[in-house]
Amino acid sequence: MANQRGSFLTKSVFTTGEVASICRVSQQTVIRCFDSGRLKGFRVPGSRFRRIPRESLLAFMQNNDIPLDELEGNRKRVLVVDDDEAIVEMFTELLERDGRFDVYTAQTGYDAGMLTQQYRPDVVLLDFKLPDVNGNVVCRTIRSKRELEHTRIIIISGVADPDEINDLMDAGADEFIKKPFNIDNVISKMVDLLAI
Amino acid sequence: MTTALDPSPAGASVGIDQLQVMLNHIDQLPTLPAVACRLLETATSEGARAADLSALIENDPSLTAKILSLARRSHLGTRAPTTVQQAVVVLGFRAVRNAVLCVKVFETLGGASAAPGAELATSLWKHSLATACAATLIAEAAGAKDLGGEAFVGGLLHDIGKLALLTCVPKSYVRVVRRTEERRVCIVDAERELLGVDHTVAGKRLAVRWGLPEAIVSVIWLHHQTPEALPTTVDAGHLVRIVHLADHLVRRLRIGCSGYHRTATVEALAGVPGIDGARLEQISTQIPLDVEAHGELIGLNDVNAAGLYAEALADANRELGRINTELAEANRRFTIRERVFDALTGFTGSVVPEAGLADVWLAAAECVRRLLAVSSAIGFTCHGQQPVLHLGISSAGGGRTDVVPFEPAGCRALHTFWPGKPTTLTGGLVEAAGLGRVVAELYAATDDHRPWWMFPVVRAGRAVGAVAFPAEHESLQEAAIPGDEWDTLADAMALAASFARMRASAERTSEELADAGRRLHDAREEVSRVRSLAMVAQMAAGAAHELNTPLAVVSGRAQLLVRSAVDEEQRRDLNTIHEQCLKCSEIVSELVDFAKPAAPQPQAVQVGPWLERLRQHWRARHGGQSARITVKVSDAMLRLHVDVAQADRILEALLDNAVLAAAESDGQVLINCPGPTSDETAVISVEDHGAGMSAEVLEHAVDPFFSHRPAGRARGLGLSRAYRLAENNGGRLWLESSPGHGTRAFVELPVFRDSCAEERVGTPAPKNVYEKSCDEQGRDRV
Repeated sequence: MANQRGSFLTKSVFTTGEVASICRVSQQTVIRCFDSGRLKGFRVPGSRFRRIPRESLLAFMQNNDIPLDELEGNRKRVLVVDDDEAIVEMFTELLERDGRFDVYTAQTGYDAGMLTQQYRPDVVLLDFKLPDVNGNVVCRTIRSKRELEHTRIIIISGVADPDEINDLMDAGADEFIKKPFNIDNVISKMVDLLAI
Repeated sequence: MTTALDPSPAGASVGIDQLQVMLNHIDQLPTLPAVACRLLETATSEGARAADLSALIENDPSLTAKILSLARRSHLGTRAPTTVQQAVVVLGFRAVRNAVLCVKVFETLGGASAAPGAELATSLWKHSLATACAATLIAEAAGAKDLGGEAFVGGLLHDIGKLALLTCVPKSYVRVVRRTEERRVCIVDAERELLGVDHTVAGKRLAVRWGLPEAIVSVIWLHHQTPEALPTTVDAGHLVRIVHLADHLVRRLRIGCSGYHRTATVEALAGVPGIDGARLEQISTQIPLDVEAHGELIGLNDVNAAGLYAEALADANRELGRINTELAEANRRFTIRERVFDALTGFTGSVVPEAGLADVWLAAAECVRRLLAVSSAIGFTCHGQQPVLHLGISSAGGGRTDVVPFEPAGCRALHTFWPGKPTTLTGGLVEAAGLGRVVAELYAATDDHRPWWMFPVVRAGRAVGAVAFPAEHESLQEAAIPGDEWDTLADAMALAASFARMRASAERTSEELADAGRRLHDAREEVSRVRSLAMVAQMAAGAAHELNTPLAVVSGRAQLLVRSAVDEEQRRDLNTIHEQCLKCSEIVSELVDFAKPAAPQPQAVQVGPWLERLRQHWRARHGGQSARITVKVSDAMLRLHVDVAQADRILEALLDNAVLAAAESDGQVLINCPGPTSDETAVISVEDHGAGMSAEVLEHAVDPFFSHRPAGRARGLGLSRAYRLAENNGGRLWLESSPGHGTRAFVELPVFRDSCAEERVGTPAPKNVYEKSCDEQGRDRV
C-alpha cells in the first residue's frame, strides 16, 4: 500500500479503479462521473478502457472537496530555485531531514518554470538573482497562472534593498528572507504559510 | 520801372531760370534817349563839332536850360553865354558833352521817386559821378588827355549795372547792399548769391543793348579786375585801369555808396603809369568840387563838398563802430573759452589713469566748482542697474568721494534725469531734477534753501552723470558760458567717466573670474569625492549579493551541524560560526546601505527632546565610556525636518568619533544647537577637545574606510555614512579641526516649516517585510 501510495504521488495517468481508490468511492461512481463528463478523461484508443489524467483527477477532487492526501500525500512539495549549488544542496538536506517536505530543485528560471508546471509545488523558495531571468519575472509568471494560485512564494536573497523588496512583494511574493538566515526561522515560516 | 517780381527771400540762392528772368528784366529797361546816343557817338568819333553838339542840345529845352546855367556858373568873365553855342565854347566841348550825358543817363535810370531804394540810387549816382570826375582828372594827369571824355563816360557808367538791378528789383538790391555791409563781403558775391547776376554782367548787357562803344562796355564789364588780371587782348585796357583807379579813389573818399568797403588804391595805382601818390592826393581834393558842380546839374541838390565830407566821416564812423562791437564780442568769447580751457586742463590734469569712478566725478565737481565760482559742487553718477550713487563732493576745503544707495522708485517719479537712459537735456545748466534732486536732498544743509542746479554730462544723447551745486548767485549766468563750451567739458568728462567705468568693470570681471576659478576647483574636488563614493557604493552593492550567498551556506551548514552536535562545546563553536557569518553579512549590509541610503521619510523632530534622547541612548549603550556628553540647545522648540532614523545614525557616528577623541583628553563632548542659521536650515555641532586633525587628515576624514587611528578603530564607514545621510536629508556635513584644538563636526539640517506638512509623502509605510523579519543588526528574529 505504501508503494502504491508512493506511485500515486508520481503517476500521471490513472485507471478508474485507481481513481476510485484514491477518492474512496466505488468504481461504478467513477465510471458514471466519467461518462457524464464530470470527470474528464479519455479512452484508450482501440479499447473501452477509460483513463484519467492527473490534472483532471485533481480538478475533480478539488471541485468536489475530496481530500487530496491519497493523491498527493501529506508531504508538501517544495521547489528550491537558486543558481548556487551549495545553497541548493543545503536546502535539500535541511528540508528532507525535516520529513514533511518533498524537495525539487532548479538552478535556472527556465528549469523553475518547467518544474513548477510539472509538479505544482506548494511553496517555492526563490532566489532573486538568477542567471537567466529575474526572480521578479518568475514570481509574476507563477502568479499569473490560475492553477498555481495556491503556490506560496518565498524570496530568499542576499540583496536587501528595501525598494526591491517592495517590488517583489508587489509582484506576488509572500515572504522575504535574507541570506544568511536562521534555518529554524525559515522552516517555521514555511509551516505558517502552508498551514500545516 | 519797378517790376512786381522780386527774387525769393533773403538767403535763397538763385536758380538758372531765375537768372534768365533777371536778364530778361534787364533787357526790358528803357533805352537811352536818342539824344544821348547821338551824343555818345559824337563824343567818341573823330571830327566832332561843337555845332553838332549845340544842335543836339537845342532840341531839348530842359537840357538847354541846364547847360546854360552851368555855363553861367562857371563863367568868370564878361558876359554870360546866352546861346548854347556860346556855352559850349565857354565850357568846353568835353564838359558839355559830359554834362549832357550825365543828365540824360540820370533821367533814364535815376528818377528819384518814392520807390524803395531811392536813397540807395542817389548814393550810387553820387559815386558814379565822383568816379567820372576822378577818371577825367586822372586821365589828364596821366597824360592821356584824349581819353578824358571817354574816361568821364566810363566813370559815369561803370556801375550802371547796379542801377539797373536796383531798378529791376529794388527790394532785393537793398537787401544785397545791406548784406554786403553786415557781412563785409564783396558786393559782387552778394549779388550773385541773392540775385543770380552781378552788376558787371548786368551792366554789360545793358550797355550792349544801348549800343555803347566797345571801350565803355569793357569798362563796365571789367572795372573790378585788378590791373594784373586784365587780359591784354582787351581794347581800352588803359581806360579800364583808369576807371578802376578812379573807383578806388572815390571809395577811399567815401563819396556815395559803391557797396565796397575795401580799397586797394595802391594796387590800382600801379596799374596806371604816370601818376604817383602825390598827384593822386591832389586829384582827391579836386574831386568833391567837381562832383558838386555836376551834381547840381543833374539835380542832386544836396551834393556839396562839405556835405560829402560829412557823409564820408559819418560812414567811416559807423564802420569803425561796427568793427569795435565785433571785436568786443570776439574778445568776450575768447575770455570765456580761456576760462573753460583752464577748467578743462585742471580736470584732465587731476584725473589719473587709475582713478575710480567716484574720483573722476570728484575731479568733475572740482572743475565745475572753480569754473562757476560756487562754494561746493557734487559730481555723481550711477553705475549699471544698481541703485547706488557714486559721488565726488568738492568744496573749498577739499574733496571726498562717497558711495550711497538711493531709492530708485522715488527717483523714477522725478523721471527727468536718469543716467543711462536717453535724455532730452543737452549741455548747459538746468535745475536739479531726477537724481540731481536726490543728491540735493542728501547733501543740502537743513537750513539751506537755495535752489540746486546741475550740469548734466550728456554724450551722444545719453546722460552719464552730472554735477550738482547750490546756486549762489541770483541768476546763474548760464549765458556767461555758452552751450558749446559746456559741450566741450561734457565730452571730456564723459570720456574720463567711461574709462573709469570700463576699468572698474574689468576689475570686477577679473575678480569674478578668479572667484569662479576657485569655485570650479572646489566643485571639481567635490565631484571627484562624490564619484569615488559612488564607485564604492556600486562596488558595495555588487559585493553584497555575492558575499551573502556563501555566507548563507556556511551559516546554514553550521546550523544543521548543531542538530547533530556531540557536546555543548561543539554546539557553541557552531553557533559562533553562525554568528560570525551574520556579522560578515552586516558589514556587507552597511556597505549597501552606505551605497544607496533609503529614501528619507522626513518628519518634524523637536531638537531638544531628540538630542536628549540620543544622549541617554548613548549612555545606556556605552555606560562604561568615560566621556561626558553635554547637550546645549538654544531653542528647544526648534523643529527639524528629517528622517529620524537616519538623523540618529548621523549623530551617533559623530558622537562615536567625538567620544573616542574626548576619551584621550578632557572627556568632554558638547552637542550644540545654537539655533536656525537661516529660514531653512539649522546647524548642530558636536565638539570635542581631543587631539584634533591635521589638514591632511581632515581632507580625507569623510573618505570611506579611512582612519588614522591605528588601534581600536571602528569600521571606518561612520563618517562617510553620516556624510551621505546628511546629504540624503537635504543637509550638509563638514568638519573643522586643527591639531591640539580638538574637532568640531557640523551638520546642517533642514528646519521644519509649516509648509513642509503638506509636502510629506502621503504613502503609508510600505510593507517592509525585511524589517519585520530582522532586528537592527540584520539578525533574523527568533
